[in-house]
Amino acid sequence: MNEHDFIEQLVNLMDTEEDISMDSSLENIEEWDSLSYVSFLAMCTKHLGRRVEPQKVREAKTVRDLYEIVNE
Amino acid sequence: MIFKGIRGETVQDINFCFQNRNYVVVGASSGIGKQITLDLAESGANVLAIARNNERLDDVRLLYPDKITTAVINVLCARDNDWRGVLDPFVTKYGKINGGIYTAGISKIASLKMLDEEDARDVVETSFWGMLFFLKFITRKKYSCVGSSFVVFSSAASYIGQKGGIAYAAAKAAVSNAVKSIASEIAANKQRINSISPGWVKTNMTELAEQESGGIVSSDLESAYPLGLGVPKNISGMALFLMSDAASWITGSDVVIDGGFLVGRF
Ligand SMILES: NC(=O)c1ccc[n+]([C@@H]2O[C@H](COP(=O)([O-])OP(=O)(O)OC[C@H]3O[C@@H](n4cnc5c(N)ncnc54)[C@H](OP(=O)(O)O)[C@@H]3O)[C@@H](O)[C@H]2O)c1
Repeated sequence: MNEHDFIEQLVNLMDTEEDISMDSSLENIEEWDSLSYVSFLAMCTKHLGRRVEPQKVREAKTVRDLYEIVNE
Repeated sequence: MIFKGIRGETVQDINFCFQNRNYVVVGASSGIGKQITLDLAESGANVLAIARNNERLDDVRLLYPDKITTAVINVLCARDNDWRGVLDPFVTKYGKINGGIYTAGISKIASLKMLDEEDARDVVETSFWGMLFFLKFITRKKYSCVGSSFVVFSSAASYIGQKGGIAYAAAKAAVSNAVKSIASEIAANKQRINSISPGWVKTNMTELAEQESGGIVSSDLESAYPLGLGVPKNISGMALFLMSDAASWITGSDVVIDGGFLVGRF
């Protein structure tokens, strides 16, 4: 998945109207909450066919960190 | 007072005697259904244990090889012929059924906005539609005795809903609601049906939910349960009681067994 597609998916998942870029800090995105976190894990399982480490997702600070988890 | 079961296991307080009785358990390979299967066998009943995974079913059977028979069915696609195919030989060999327990259920976490249609349908079909097709057959006079008792599984989630559990909680509410209509239909044959709504019970299902949610669903869990988290044995006793003659005036009810979860919230 390229950066553009990833951001599109993430925006869709969080249902946010904020401008999201690779450098956006997750802390500042109101919609990045526990439900988004769980949905993100589910999306990874579904689309990547493998489980990502929840711990890594919890520790992610930026959108780029999430992108890297997906592309590992 | 302490009793001994047929295999010498310690049975406390209440001892059920289901000698010469026959039961069918759907979802018998794991968790609550497995515990109910073992308790029924321990009480002397013949049990037809059903699930998808033959290996896990066989592990259950081997604990009471004289009492437990197994059959593989996937409730997502089982239709008339499949149910007849497993019920006919069991009833021919042991006689009519005294009761049925349906515990098959799955949970898939998804928010409303990210709802996956296929997953959501599987959740509803496993808990609700699968149950209806099972009951459609097993309640027939051909298979079940007058006075037989059925127990199906709802959930505490059906009372309060659950973030990320829309399809699951709704399917479970459908289960306890359908029980009322079914109870009034099958009463003509003195048959009974009730549902059980467990809170968090440690089984494969809850372990998977814990993994899927990256620990979110299980954080602060202990504090939400005044009596602590449940184990399958906390549930199976009620299922056996509902099967017994002592429960002969109980039908169309839902029994919450949740360690105080619903009343303990604030
Ligand atoms: N554990 C809890 O905290 C809890 C709380 C509230 C309600 N409940 C309800 O209680 C019931 C039992 O749950 P559990 O925790 O014991 O779950 P579990 O350990 O995952 O057992 C579920 C059983 O259902 C069977 N099953 C699942 N899908 C099936 C299918 N398509 N066809 C046939 N069998 C199928 C499984 O066997 P195979 O995989 O071999 O097919 C397994 O034997 C469920 O209805 C659940 O929703 C549980």
